[in-house]
Amino acid sequence: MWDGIIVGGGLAGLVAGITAAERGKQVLLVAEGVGSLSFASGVIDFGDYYTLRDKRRHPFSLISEDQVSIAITKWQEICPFYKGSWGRDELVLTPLGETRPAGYVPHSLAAQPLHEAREIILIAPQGLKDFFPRLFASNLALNFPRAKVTIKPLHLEEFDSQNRLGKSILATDYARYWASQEGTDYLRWFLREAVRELSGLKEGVVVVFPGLSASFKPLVNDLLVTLALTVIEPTLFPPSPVGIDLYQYLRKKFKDLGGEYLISGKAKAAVMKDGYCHSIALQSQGKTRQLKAKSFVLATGGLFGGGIQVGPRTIREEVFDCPLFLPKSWTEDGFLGPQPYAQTGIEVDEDLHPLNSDGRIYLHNVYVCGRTLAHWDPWIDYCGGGVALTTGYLAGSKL
Amino acid sequence: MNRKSVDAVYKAEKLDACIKCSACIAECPVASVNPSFPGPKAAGPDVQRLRLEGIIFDASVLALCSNCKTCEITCPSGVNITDLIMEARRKAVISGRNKKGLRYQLRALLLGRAEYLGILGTVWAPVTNFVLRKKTVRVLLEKTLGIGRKAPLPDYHQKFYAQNYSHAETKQVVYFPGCYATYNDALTAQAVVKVLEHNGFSVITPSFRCCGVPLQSNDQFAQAEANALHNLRLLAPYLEQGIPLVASCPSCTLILKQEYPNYCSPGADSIALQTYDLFEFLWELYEKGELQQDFWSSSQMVGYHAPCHLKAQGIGTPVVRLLRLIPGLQVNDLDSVCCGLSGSYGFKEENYELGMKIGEPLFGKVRRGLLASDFNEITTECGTCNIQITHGSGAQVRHPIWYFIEAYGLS
Repeated sequence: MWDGIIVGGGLAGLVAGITAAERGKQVLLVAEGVGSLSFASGVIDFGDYYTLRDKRRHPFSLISEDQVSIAITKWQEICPFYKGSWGRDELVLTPLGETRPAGYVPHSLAAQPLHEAREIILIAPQGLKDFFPRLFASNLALNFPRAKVTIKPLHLEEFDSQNRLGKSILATDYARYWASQEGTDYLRWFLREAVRELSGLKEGVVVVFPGLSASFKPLVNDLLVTLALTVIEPTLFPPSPVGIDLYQYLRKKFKDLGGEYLISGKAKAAVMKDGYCHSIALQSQGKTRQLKAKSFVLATGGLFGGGIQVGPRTIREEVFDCPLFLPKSWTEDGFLGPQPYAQTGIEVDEDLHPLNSDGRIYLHNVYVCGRTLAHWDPWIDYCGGGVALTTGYLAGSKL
Repeated sequence: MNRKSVDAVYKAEKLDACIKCSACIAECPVASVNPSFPGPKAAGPDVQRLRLEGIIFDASVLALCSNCKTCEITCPSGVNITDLIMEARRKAVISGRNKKGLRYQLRALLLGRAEYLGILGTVWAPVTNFVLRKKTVRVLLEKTLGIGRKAPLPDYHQKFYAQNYSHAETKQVVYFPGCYATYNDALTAQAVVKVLEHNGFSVITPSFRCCGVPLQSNDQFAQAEANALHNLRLLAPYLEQGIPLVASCPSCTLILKQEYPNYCSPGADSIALQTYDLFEFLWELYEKGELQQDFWSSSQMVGYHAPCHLKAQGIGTPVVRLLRLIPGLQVNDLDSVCCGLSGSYGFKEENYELGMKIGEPLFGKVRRGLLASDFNEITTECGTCNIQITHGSGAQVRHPIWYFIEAYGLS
């Protein structure tokens, strides 16, 4: 009998798990795979929080600003290398070299220093997948007109065989190399050379280096500190090394706190009676095991993460069969505009209990957090990370 | 719909579940060290769409897959990637497209048949071990058969012989020791039996053949199937009586749970439900209040490495929970990835160095932990992980059952 079982290993589930484990609870986290953090940028956004908070039934409307503040403080404890402060936007670079506002970012992604730059050196690792140096550089030049932008190609013998085969090199493969002693030594030499060769200036030089993931790699980070260089990383297309590093960092934290992490099991159905859930069934390799707990957290990612399955005639939340909010019309014209189906999810009360259509609590010992909640769209609200963090924290503190 | 078309649909569905997120490639231990391997996404679901149209590719690239199943564990969409790859390899063998040189064909015969090697090896174990340690012998083996000269071939010991005392009054359990325990580590197999008996079980060990994992990894699919049918025939009468099957090696357990149910044989319908990893079984006893907990206190500090094939079973790490029941014992979960040996994969001359590269992060963690006195030794359930970790880091590695033997005071 666990104190709590968390179903779902994305940002919301992991934050819930860490929060509960820190409170001394015996927690099991069950995940089908590595979750969506592996294709996320690692940036936590809150969007236009105050407008969203006033939107009826938006997840931000369910929690108080105090609770948001506590959740953010908790995040900064868990990840002290994240930069950001409430009410003031950070700046990050997109994978194409544009800029966008952000909430809390790994410090190596904080792009504000570019505004003061006189010279920007864009490192172009050869063969880096989904990275277009000339497009990136021209966007940098447009956004930071005071700076001179130069592209510095980087070629590694280590990846010669890939280059010969004509294969793109994943950002994660480059990041793995940078984190090794050999890679760090190379970086030390390369960065010094690049700056010396391309810039006559002593100050105002900023290096943009895709795929370092320095915030998560102490060796690389220490190097940059000793070199006294300002190095900024853009966000990247998936698989993003920063997203994967964040996932592994949070998972390790959870396990170090005593939480058990069970991967590769699909949780389906449950034994529910009189408005309480007694156990969930874990399907793995032909056997179904009942896992009992006092409370449960549902963090399965909704439409995005597979927590809500859509078929030709059915739509169902797979674990607890929670009643779902469905919009009256499903789609709108305008492919990149707001789409009503994205609002699909589970309606909850202020304690994150799932509700029936008549507004009464469906399950008293289940807490829903993250994308699975109804009445929001992370892709137009730009607050995916913020909702996952705050509702995940709240769920974890209820276990 | 009959079983075959259900399977076809099931497989197609899983194939369509792939959203091309590339998380599998990012985590694949082989792709991270060998650029010639296109990665699980490409070798699996990408090319499968073409294979379904009858386009066959050169299967030699598929041989680079070590079948560690890290991709399946990682996949957020539940795609059975290694199923797709192994099925393609099987078809390539059947269609005769997979022609290898004589050297490698002989090697496949040898490495695949762990039990024949075992029988040969245990006849005169001390001589075998002495000979296999000689450098000239190893160089010769490499030149003739392509077995890496530095590969950590395990020692042979006395063969494990089960004593099948069956008391009608006690609960019964069938034990599948696996080739490693049988031929290379009989003491561990005996320890497993002792612990089960201490918990009130009579242990039955029929004369099983190799579970089939090394055979499949060496493209001996027909033999793997023959072994599976033989094992199922042996198991059927016990499974019918509701007797559980317990295995102490995660690779054996995985194939028993995952692939044996697909065969047409008595026993196939019930095997998945009644097969348990050893510690999965002991943990269920604990949950039912039936586990003997007359533990002596321990002062051991151990680092735990979870084998890939254990993670793939989706049961978590029950051994860690159980070890924490022993008063005083400290377990440190290394949270590690593949050790790089992957059964017989790392024994092959072309894979040995890659295997060592794959395992280097794990070896580094072990070395650092030993230096910092986070733990004194390593424990893991898989025999080949055991020898690889020792080979790569110098640490002493034991099967977790030994901590229970010591805690129960049995020796």
